Amino acid sequence: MFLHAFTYNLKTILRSKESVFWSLLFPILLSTMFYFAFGNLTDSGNFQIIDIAVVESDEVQKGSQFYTVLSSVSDIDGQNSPDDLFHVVSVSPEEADELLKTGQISGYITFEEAIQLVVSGTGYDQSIIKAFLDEYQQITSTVNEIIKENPASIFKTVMSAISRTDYFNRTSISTSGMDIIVNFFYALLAMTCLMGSTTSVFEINKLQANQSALAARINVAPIQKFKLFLYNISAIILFQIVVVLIVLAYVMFVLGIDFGTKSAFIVLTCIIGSIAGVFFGTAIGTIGKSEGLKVALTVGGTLFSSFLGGLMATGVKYYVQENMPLVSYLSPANLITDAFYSLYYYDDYSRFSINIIVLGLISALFCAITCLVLRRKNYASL
Amino acid sequence: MQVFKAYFKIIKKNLPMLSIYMIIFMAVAIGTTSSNQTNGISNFTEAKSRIALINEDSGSAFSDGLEDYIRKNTVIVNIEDEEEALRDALFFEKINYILRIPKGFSDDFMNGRACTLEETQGLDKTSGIFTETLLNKFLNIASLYAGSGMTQAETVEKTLNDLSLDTTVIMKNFDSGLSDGQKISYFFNSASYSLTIIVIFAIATFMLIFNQSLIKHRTLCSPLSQNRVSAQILLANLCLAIAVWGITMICGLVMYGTELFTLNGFLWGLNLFIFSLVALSISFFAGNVIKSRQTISAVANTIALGFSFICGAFVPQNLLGPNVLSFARFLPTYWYIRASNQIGTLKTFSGEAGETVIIAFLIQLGFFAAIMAVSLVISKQRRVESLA
Repeated sequence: MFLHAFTYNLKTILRSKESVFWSLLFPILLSTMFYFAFGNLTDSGNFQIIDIAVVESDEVQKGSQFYTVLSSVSDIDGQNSPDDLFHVVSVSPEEADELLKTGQISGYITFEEAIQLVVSGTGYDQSIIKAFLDEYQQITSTVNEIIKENPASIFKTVMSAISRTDYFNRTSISTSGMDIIVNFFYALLAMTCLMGSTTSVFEINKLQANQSALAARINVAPIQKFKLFLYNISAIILFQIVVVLIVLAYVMFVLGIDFGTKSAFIVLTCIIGSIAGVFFGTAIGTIGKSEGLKVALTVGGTLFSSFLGGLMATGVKYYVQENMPLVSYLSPANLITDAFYSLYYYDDYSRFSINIIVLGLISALFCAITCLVLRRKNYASL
Repeated sequence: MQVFKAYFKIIKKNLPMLSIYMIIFMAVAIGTTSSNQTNGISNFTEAKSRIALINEDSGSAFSDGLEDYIRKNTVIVNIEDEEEALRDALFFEKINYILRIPKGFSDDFMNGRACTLEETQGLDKTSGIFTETLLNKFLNIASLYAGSGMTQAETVEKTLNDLSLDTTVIMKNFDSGLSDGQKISYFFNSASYSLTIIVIFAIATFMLIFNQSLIKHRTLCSPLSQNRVSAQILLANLCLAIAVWGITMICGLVMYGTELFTLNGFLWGLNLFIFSLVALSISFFAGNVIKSRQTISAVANTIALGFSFICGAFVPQNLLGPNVLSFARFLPTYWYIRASNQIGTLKTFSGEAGETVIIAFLIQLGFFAAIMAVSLVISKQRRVESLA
């Protein structure tokens, strides 16, 4: 009996070509779009040389003190070095304004009475220029101050003022690199897992005699409804797992997104995630009669949960985790996304295990709800 | 107006479904906006890195002085000194820098011995370099004083004194007068997602009902001419799109209040209105092509999410690669977002910026006309098919 119900249901699912096509195409298309949209994003965190302008005046003539200092961190002397902070052009005040207005430079330096910085916005670029100018003036003041108090140390002071020391010991935090973009793909995969919920809404309609003619016929068959439910559901779960694994393979191997190296656990997450999605759908499927409403709940629920998991903006996931920890444990997409994330970013499995266990409990809860509603339901008239 | 009335009966029956979509997707749009941390400020304020500071050397005058200096110039985020908490915060850019002052740092430093601070940079390298610059500045000046034989307290005092020298910054403002232009445009950008998905879901679902072959045949033999049936359906769809537009605008008003009663606010509203026409035409097209209910959710999702990402509704356009953007030009959402971003920085409606907005409006209207024309042809074709 199991084989019969299972294979026929699988065939039914596979023969609705339109829905098979879309369940596969949608995540693949979307991940491809993600891939292209974010191709540029990792680079944006890297430091890029800041474009600035200097208004021509005596103070910035070649050979002046300021010129010497500026040339050590920029290409004003025509020499590029990898440590340069600035790309400098020397211009007239009007040209400087024009460059600033069109956004070709982040700011310009001008000498009216004292050093001034002109900017049109606020950000790290502008702040770095300001920090540089501040430091120039401050070091000048320091040297004067020390010489004033202790004229004998003039030589030593000047020498050490010129030789700047770097006081940092830089450590890197993760072995597998760190790339916030992967979280978009994790959330996308979580969404793919949960998308099975919409399919199972239609599936559960096949079992409720008051929902469809097919269900009415199936209900008179001499088989326990619970068994039939399990057989049918295993077919959808299998279908859903295959879909998710195909998408996973596409994202991992075609798009080359880094999931870390723990392949077995990644697959396990996909499987548990798919099961959670299917049972979420069956639980929703048992409430009410309106198909449109149920679809709205599963689609909306899936997307909202994925949104909390960081599908639209990764900051959302962290915000939820920090401020609403309970929600992050109740939203299936958060659990799936976090499971992928902890496999990628952490070496031990404690956080991963918690995610998977909670996800399993949620699936069991949804399954129990479905069974309780479906069991022993009789229809006096249809 | 029988068709029109019938359409509204269907809407009424499906009101719970519609409101679920409305609530969920508006929540997504609003949530995305609030999680975004950009803020445009019209006075110059120095950028401040968000850092986690672990001072293992507290108690010595020098390290405490350094800590005070760091507190003044960065935003210290309190995070437990636990590896997992620190790593999470760094990954999700809650902080962009971790600094650890090791025990005995001040002693080594004051006596000129080699010593280092331990830093861990996050993804945002610019912010990391900025923080390094700040710290190196303090340490380099302090080392000069320390080298001239001063005590820890004197060194800190003199150093801070020098560091208080400040460069005058002049802010030339070419931006709009709105206090929060960027944030509002971000809201309207994410609203393009919610609007598209709601309109497609609703309209495609209802069109599917009208296109069921039995109902369609019955409608076809009524004395009402086909053009009038189409026109009434279109009118009803239009009402629906306008309603979704209206609700979105109300959300905007609740969030930003009077800031929307400006020229910029008017333009944003107009932009979203034109865009809802485009969304209407896309849904009309989808409604004529889609044959089953299961497909609607996939189609609506693909279009709404895909367009939003490619065109920069969630990830700002200036962060997307040039290739992506040149592809996105072929999608209406791109022009909507472009206009929305431009409106955020608009001071007067003239010159180049105003022109960009108008061009974006016109292109969206062009998309509307083109998609509408194609779907009307398809709908006519399918009418003929269904009779054959």
